[in-house]
Amino acid sequence: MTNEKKILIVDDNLDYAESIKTIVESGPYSADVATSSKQAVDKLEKEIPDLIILDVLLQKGAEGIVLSRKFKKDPKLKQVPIIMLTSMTKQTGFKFISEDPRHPHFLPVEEFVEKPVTPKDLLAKIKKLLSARETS
Amino acid sequence: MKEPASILVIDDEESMRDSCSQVLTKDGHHVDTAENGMVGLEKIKAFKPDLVLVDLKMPGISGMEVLEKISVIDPTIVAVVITGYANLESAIDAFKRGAYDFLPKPFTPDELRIIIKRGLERRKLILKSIALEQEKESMRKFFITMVSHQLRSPLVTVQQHLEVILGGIVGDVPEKQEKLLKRARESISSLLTLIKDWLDLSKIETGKLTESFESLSLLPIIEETIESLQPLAEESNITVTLDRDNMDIPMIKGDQQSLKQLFFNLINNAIKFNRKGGQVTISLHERNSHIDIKISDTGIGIAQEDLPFIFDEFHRVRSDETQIVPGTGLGLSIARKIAEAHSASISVESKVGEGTVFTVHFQKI
Repeated sequence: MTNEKKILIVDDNLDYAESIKTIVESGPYSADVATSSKQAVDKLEKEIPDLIILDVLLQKGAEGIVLSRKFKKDPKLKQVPIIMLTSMTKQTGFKFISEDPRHPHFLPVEEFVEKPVTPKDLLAKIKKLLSARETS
Repeated sequence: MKEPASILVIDDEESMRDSCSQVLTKDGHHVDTAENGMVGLEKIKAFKPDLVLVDLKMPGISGMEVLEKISVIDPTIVAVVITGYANLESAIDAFKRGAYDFLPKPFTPDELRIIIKRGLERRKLILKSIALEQEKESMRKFFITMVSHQLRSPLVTVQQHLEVILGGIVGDVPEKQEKLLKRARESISSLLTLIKDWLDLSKIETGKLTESFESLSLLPIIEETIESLQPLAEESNITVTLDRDNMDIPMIKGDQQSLKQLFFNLINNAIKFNRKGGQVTISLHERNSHIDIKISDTGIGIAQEDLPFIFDEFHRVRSDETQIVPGTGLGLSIARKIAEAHSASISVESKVGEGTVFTVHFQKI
């Protein structure tokens, strides 16, 4: 149990977060869910996870993006890789996703994925980011 | 009964200011006065009255100038001019500068009341129409935000659940179930596309679009659109060609994004409803006042009786051949709305079994 990597999932849609948790826990990981930025911050204060899956949290004004910047500035959290999820896709009519929206200052996340994610893809990305961290 | 309004009287004659003020205050209105145009304009800026009475003949800044300045400060303020005896010409001039009504001197209190009443009714209508417009706009924005969040969110969640199941994460999926789940996944995907199209349609308010208009050339827009549709065309072995009888394509005024969408929808249709190995030809023609863009295909064609309806929202021609073609039925409605926003029109000619030609007529700058 203590060998398992811990992943924190932050998404204000609990139903959606649970499905991501199902995917994550099918791998050698344990997952916790936060459905608000406040809840996320509280949990992070108690325990630092090995990876964070973070929704853009559009309903609260793209708070996810703000959080990502906050985390990367925090010395305790900046090493924790972040996979950002968004439901703003070509299909949903927003031109948010241009090429690669990641930016070292404005969107400092390691991966940016559109919803819905395929389990295979998500698990592969988690594996890659966690092993990169091990070797660094 | 009568709603109190705020009225400003601008007249260099003290007796005029006093008598108007008395009559109107007695009727329950809030009245202020100004002895010349300058003071009057300052007061207008300060407290934005509902109605202004302006004497045309004043020393210093003239009544006409005051009128012009009022419409700059706030065009919704109703201005009534007080004219000299039988001076109809001035009244007409005043109307041209934005006055709503005129009151010839000398006038009785009742004549004043009638004019004021008319003017205030007009003011009420103006304000109501502005309020309705704003309400409509905020409802529209709310609708868009609500739809885009509340409808999409559970749909994306369902999609995600399907991905979890189809990914074998919660157990093996027997083939029969896998088939149905995959079809369910496609249905959700179509629904999301439909929502996007519907949102696009409601976003294209003809008034709003013109705000982002610039001078541009249609050629690169069409070329890029053709390029983005090449993969689709290749799937059915369809050749898309761009013909131009004239290298010098004149500019038009428009919004690049929506024009791309317009041509995307038309060329997409030309490819979708085509036969395997067919052709799509796009040509540009310049006339005296217009630029015509023709998009012709060698597709299944549209029957005469269906032609009047094809631009209607959600309309899909029902036939064996069109059944299998994917689409939301909104492509042409969106195209037409974009054209209208550009003061352009779309015409169509078609022969069943042979093909269709859609022509977009743009006005030259």
